[in-house]
Amino acid sequence: MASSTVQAEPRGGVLVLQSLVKKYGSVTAVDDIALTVESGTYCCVLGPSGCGKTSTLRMIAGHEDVSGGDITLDGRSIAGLPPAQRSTAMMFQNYALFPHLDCTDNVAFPLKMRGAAKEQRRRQALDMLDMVQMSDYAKRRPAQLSGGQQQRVALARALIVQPKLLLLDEPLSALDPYLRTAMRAELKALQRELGISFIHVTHSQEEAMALSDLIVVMNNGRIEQSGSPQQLFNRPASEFVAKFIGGHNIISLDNARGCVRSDRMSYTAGGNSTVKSVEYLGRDVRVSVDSGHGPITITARESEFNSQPCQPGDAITLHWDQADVHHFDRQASH
Amino acid sequence: MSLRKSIAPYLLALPYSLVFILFFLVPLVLVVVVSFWDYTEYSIIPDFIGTNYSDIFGGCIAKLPDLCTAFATYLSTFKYVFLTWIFTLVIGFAVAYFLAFCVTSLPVQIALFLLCTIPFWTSNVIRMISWIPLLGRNGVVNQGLIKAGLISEPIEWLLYSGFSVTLAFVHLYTLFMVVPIFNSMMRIDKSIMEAAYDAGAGGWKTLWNVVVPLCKPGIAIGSIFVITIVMGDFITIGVMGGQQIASIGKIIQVEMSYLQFPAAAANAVVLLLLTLMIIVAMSRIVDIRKEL
Repeated sequence: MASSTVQAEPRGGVLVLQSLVKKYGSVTAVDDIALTVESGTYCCVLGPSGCGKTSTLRMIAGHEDVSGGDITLDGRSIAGLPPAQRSTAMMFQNYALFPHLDCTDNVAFPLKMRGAAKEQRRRQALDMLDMVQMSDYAKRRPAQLSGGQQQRVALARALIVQPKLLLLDEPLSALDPYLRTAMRAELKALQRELGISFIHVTHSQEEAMALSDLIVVMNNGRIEQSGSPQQLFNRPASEFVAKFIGGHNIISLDNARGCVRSDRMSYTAGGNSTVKSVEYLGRDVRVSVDSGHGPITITARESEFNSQPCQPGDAITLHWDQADVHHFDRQASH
Repeated sequence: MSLRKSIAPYLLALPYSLVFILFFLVPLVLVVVVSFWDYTEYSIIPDFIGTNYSDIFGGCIAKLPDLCTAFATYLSTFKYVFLTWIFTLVIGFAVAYFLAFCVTSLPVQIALFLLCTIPFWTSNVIRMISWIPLLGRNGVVNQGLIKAGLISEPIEWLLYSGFSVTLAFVHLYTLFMVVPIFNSMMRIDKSIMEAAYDAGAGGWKTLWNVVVPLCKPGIAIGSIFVITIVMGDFITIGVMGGQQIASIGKIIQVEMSYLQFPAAAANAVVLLLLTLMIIVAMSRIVDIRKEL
């Protein structure tokens, strides 16, 4: 994939979800969500398993019926259309390449289904394989490729129809950690280069933080919060978001709850809190503490920690600046 | 310890190997050997002659374009093989598709699958004979049609005809198609079907471009079952054909009953070679090993 950092002009593709509902029998998987994704946005939908993120993606793709509400792309309602007429393309979690076709025919498949002539679709498929740096493997079958290579082919197959919106269902979860980080960067570069929106479903907050222009945190079929990674990290709307994004300590205030970033907390020796464990992480040291607020984690710089070391069992007092306390917009949530 | 470990697999394979050698390989070799022996009305003489083979097709080439008995019999057998194959394939594929893709709940899938196998709890012959009261001249079908006023005379070709033979074959052996094709279909990842749909393939295009190619090994295995069974059959053709329809199996059986073992053996070897050629041709087209 091209490593160019030039951002292409957005190619259209404003996605709007209006009061979207998905019910399976009596179970509500997606509960009346509303969302706008501007064109050219890398959007990650983040949440624990069963939160409705995959159902939402599959409704956008056209692989699940919409139980209520509407989905529009550039103002056109696509909720009732078959997938191929939506200007979207989906990349499946396990890539779902056709085992009986070689890479070229896999990538050319959507064009074949649209009735393109053999020569033309093979030429375009080779161009796409070239874009994802897989042209050397054009004659190989999926079983002869590694996970990362299969993903590139799946990406080429999804992009060959020039969608306005690419939908990715946990695209990195099947890869090993090293490859995951590398592919992550490539996905982001590709999205910038193409200028289309990517909707990427993941349960990894790290992945979402690294990739997104827009993060949508879902829980129990609802959107807990949507915003930029900075907004989510610095102003989590609810306790759930703060916990899910991580790096925050939940504290009880007078008659409400709030949070303080774990790197904004400090401690002094002596007091009524107890050190539970100390983990050396290199740059940082993570100190877990039992306190009146419940479990608290302090992330201290190595030098900071060394100037005032502590051990499990030590009594300490926690400190934080009142200015660093963030009050949740929504208190009732969990 | 290491010795025990190294011979353990061979010990496990030994019982079946013995059965295979004693009851398959040895008789097969004997059949080939006997096919070159000489025989008279009352004795079998160890020899090495080719007349048993030349007798089968004796004068067949000279007689062309008229068909000699052997050619006509082979042609008739091939006809039933082809008809049975095409019907079991289409019906078997449809049933397997229904079970694999249309039935989404696993308990229902298992229940329906068992339902398919229940007829196999009775013997082939009984299932075959059950057709007779149904299809006979005064059978249920004919009487029903007469009472309904659709026909005035009983339909003669319902029983003891090519129709009843084909019907019985299809009835008896469709499951041999269903099982391997169903097995192939169950290996198709559901997301692959969705990917095809996402790529713009409708039902028929998905069927033709994705499901059928991925079911090829199952189709080949089912076809081999059906073709080999029908090639050598003489009971079904005998019972359902009213002993009026010729087949290779029938010829071999008749020769055996006259104790013409060498001639029967020669016919059996020819039949075996033909069947093997069909199987080799099929496995050239499809890699069956994938499925095993």
